[in-house]
Amino acid sequence: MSSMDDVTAAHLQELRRGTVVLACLLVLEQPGYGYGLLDTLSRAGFEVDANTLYPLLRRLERQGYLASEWNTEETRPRKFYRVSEAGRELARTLTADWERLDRAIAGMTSGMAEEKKP
Amino acid sequence: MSTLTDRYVAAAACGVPERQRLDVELELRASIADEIDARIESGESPVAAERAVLTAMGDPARLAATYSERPQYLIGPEYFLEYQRLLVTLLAVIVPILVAIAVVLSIGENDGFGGVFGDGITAGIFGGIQVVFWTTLVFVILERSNATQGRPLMPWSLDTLPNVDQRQMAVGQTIPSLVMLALFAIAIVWQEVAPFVPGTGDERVPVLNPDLWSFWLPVLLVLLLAEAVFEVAKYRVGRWTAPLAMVNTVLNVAFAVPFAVLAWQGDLVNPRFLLGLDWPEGAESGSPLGMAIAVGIAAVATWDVVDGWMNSIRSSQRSHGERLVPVL
Repeated sequence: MSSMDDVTAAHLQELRRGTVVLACLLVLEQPGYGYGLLDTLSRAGFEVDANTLYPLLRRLERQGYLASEWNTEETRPRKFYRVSEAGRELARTLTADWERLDRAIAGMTSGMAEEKKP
Repeated sequence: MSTLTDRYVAAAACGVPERQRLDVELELRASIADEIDARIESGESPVAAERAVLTAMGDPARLAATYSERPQYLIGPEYFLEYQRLLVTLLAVIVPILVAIAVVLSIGENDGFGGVFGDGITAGIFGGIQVVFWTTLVFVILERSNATQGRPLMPWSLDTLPNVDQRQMAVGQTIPSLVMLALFAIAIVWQEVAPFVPGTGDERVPVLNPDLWSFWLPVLLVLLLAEAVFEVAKYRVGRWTAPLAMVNTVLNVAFAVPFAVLAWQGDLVNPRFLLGLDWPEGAESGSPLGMAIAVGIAAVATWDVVDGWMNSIRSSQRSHGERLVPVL
């Protein structure tokens, strides 16, 4: 039974993999820093590990989708990330694809319901 | 004294390239501190909070590798198939050549059978290690340098599909069998022509009883030749069949019965060789040595006969199965 659950968990993880990137790009319309973002995402239902998120932010920055700035005004200096124009563009593309997939899945489930009727 | 966080951040930072190091270090430190604070706020003790946060972050070396986007494997899926293919090909080509060269050189030096055998094995092992090492090194460098920019090394196309071959016998099985038979035949002649095991005193004597050359050892050589012809025939048929299993049985019986009897009677091993070992009673009829050899011969032959029949049954089931159940 537990192995069954492991398989389910692996499929879920597979399905969710790319959504963290999209969530980051959307959330970072407002500037955010590592732990704050982790907290926001977890509240929104995205369970992402710190050791995945922090390197991911850097990768998106290197690819030009995020811009960063050190904020040294507070006692603890923090690196703030914010989505760039390229990042916004990527977020639009990903969102459009997400919606297309959602419609396709919805079409398939309702199509199956239709077939069962007669 | 440095805190756990200091130690963790230092360990992670030293795995990150120089130019990012300070930045990563500062950011990581702030993130860890934030997370610890959040846990303390929800009622944990500072020590427990720090331990929990750092434990959840995992191995700092892994974190550093993720930060610097270094592959955490030697050869990835991009190159693995080509690596495997090349490695197998190189091993199959180079190792036998090296063994052959070593054997020829060793024969030139007149080392005797044991010496030649040892030189061949040594050359094979060291050659194999070299091939594996250098091939792996080249692919690891390819992997790290991203030389082909994510494209496979050898593009695949439909034209490269091999023809469908029903045969279950591969050349890879037939050739080693033939080589083994040839080596066996050479060893039998060699131990007589150039004896290398000590007899009594300084003399070198054959292992097998020289009296057997009047009839049984020539028979053995003929049987080995027949076995070689059988291997080729099996390859050409392409799979085990009942007639092949029958011939295999006959060949095995023809070998095993006379030689097991000879061994049992103490006539197989050269008595002078046994004398050199201070074990003359080994040549007596029904001696433990003779019995052990006889039982060994019988066991190997029986196993080979049974294996042949099992294979022929299995391969006939398989060809029927293909016809009756097209989709499994």
